[in-house]
Amino acid sequence: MNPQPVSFHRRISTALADDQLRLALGRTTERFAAKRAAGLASLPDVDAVRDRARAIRLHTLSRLDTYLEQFEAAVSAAGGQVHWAADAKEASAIVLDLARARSVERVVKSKSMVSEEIALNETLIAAGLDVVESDLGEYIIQLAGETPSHIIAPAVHKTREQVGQLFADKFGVPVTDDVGEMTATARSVLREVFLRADMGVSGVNFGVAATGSLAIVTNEGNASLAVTAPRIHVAMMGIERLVPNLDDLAVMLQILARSATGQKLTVYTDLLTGPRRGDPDGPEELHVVLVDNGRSRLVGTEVGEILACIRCGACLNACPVYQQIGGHAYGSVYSGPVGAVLTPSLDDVGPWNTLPDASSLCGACREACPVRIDIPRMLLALRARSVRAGTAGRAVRVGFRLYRWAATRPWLFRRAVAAARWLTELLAADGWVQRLPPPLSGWTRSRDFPVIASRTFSERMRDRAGGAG
Amino acid sequence: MSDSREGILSRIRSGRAGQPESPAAPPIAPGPAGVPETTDLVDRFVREAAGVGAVVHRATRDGAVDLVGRLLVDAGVRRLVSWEPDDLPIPEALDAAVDRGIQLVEPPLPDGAEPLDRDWTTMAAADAGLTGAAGGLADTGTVILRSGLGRARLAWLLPPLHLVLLYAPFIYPTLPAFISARGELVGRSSHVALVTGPSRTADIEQTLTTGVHGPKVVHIVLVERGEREREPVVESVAGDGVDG
Ligand code: SF4
Repeated sequence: MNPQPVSFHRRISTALADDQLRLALGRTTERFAAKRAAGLASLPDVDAVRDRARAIRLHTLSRLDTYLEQFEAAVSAAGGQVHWAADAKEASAIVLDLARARSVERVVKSKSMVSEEIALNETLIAAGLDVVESDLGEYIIQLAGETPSHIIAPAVHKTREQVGQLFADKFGVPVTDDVGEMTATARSVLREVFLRADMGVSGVNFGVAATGSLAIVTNEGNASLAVTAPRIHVAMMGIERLVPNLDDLAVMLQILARSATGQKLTVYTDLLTGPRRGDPDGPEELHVVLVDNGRSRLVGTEVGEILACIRCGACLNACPVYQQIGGHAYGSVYSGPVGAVLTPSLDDVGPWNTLPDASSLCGACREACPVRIDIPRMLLALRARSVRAGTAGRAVRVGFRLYRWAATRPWLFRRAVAAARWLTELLAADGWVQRLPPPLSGWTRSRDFPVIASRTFSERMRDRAGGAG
Repeated sequence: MSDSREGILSRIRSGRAGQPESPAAPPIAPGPAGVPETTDLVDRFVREAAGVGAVVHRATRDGAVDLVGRLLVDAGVRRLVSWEPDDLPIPEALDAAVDRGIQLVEPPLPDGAEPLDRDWTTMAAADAGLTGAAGGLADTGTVILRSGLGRARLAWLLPPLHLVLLYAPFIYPTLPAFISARGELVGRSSHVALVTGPSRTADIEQTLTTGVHGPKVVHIVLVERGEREREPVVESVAGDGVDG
């Protein structure tokens, strides 16, 4: 993942100051969240299905090694080939080697977070290959030379006016704010790309251990075309994305689209098992690249549960922080609540230790998550880890050390509270402090601080005990 | 490469060590979840498919043959890419199209196991694709298509119009019910597609647009058995816009 040169706090401020961005985000996240609720409601017994989906994912993870071996055997039996990549570099190298050995010149891609994670495009383009993203949102982002801001809707930060201008600049078509016209332009440009590509690179939503099948979903049908017309299909897949069998797959597919966009099923849900077998089209070769890149280290740890994620994006739309700052401010491929856990976990040497701070721990993400992943718990675990590791901010470290010192000495603690009460009363207007002195000024920059209560909790308890006795 | 394989597997194993195995999810009850027994599966299918923007036509067998020809002609189709007649629920449907002067576009090397030449230009010029569904899903309005010897995938992907024949008894209540009854089909074809409405995108400001890469229009001709005899056809249901 590419570390961003600017600090997280700076990126947040920039995002908050961008009115265009906040307009686009507002229009989108709200609609997504409402549709998701309606989509889930259309599933009878939705709680039971979610419980089952969670059980399937946790079970798979708890014997992931066995299922990976089973999956590999099944893919081979169907005529495909599995490649194992320990890290981003190896994963990209595998794809590049495949392309070179088969004289591939043109690559068509369908959106995949794991390709973003390993920066596959950069590697292929640097090697001189012609690489085109085929998902409309990704294509817009590629044209604009940007990075995606949302798992499901990568161009969510762009308004229609901006896209119309972009197409006019790149293709010489008249400027328009008609979305239908823009879509038609994209169709005709990309049609050529699909039909002339030598290699199609896709992601994988789920791999089925028992059959070696890959499930890939898109509404546009771009993945379907990318895995059909070119002679080689390369599927990029995180090692955690397995389900044991087709029955389990059916359960996961029932909640994936509903949680992502509120649809009952994605328009194109492709189940691919091996390359073509005498069919008049379809790939001659199927390669599945299993990408680890930090995942295997998480198995059995306090953040291991994040591997159950099915990348639906529901937690992003539900998150009040994401709704305000959008995906780019996170600076990482995975944004929002899932990104705040996944990013520092996968890449523990990167500059990501402040991402888990971008949460009010309100629990909306856990509530929205179709597989009920306990994101707030893991955010806390990561915060604690960064305090232990000494990578948390200095004020936080010193503050907590002072707190511990005082809190373990009751007489001192009582006096400290009394002093703080006196101080906040002095600074307050109407019971709220608008500006605390440094080093606490950061807190009041964006919110007020309450005056400390006139009687502390332990004082009140003592009163009560006295009254009752 | 095999070093990475061993490394990944052993890291997972050491992470797992001492952790209890999470129990397997209980097998799903494939029953009619969401579609009460009493509800007519076909009615539900028609409603859901129309709701996602497909145009559904209910027809008897004889009516369907005629209807296919008429729909293609009405849409101004001149070149058609079709599955082999035996792979359509009604083989005569293809004759009906040809009889009306519609030209058949062949996929390259339709029966070869040799590498294909992959010149898709003639197929890309087709105005419509004609296919037959292996199943339908009532609760989502989905048609299930599978690739094979005479069954080009591009027929349902490339042309701006996709016309699919679905035999009504092939409709299942839900995806889990279909998988539980016909799951073996998935392994038997290299590509099984669950198609729910026309190709669409909402990538620009969540504004729904159809036909971005795949077909803009999907006609489903639902072939019902004799008991609903109606001559020659026709009841067509189109959704009034798609609920994005
Ligand atoms: S954490 Fe849950 S809600 Fe968020 S993307 Fe993953 S599965 Fe969806």
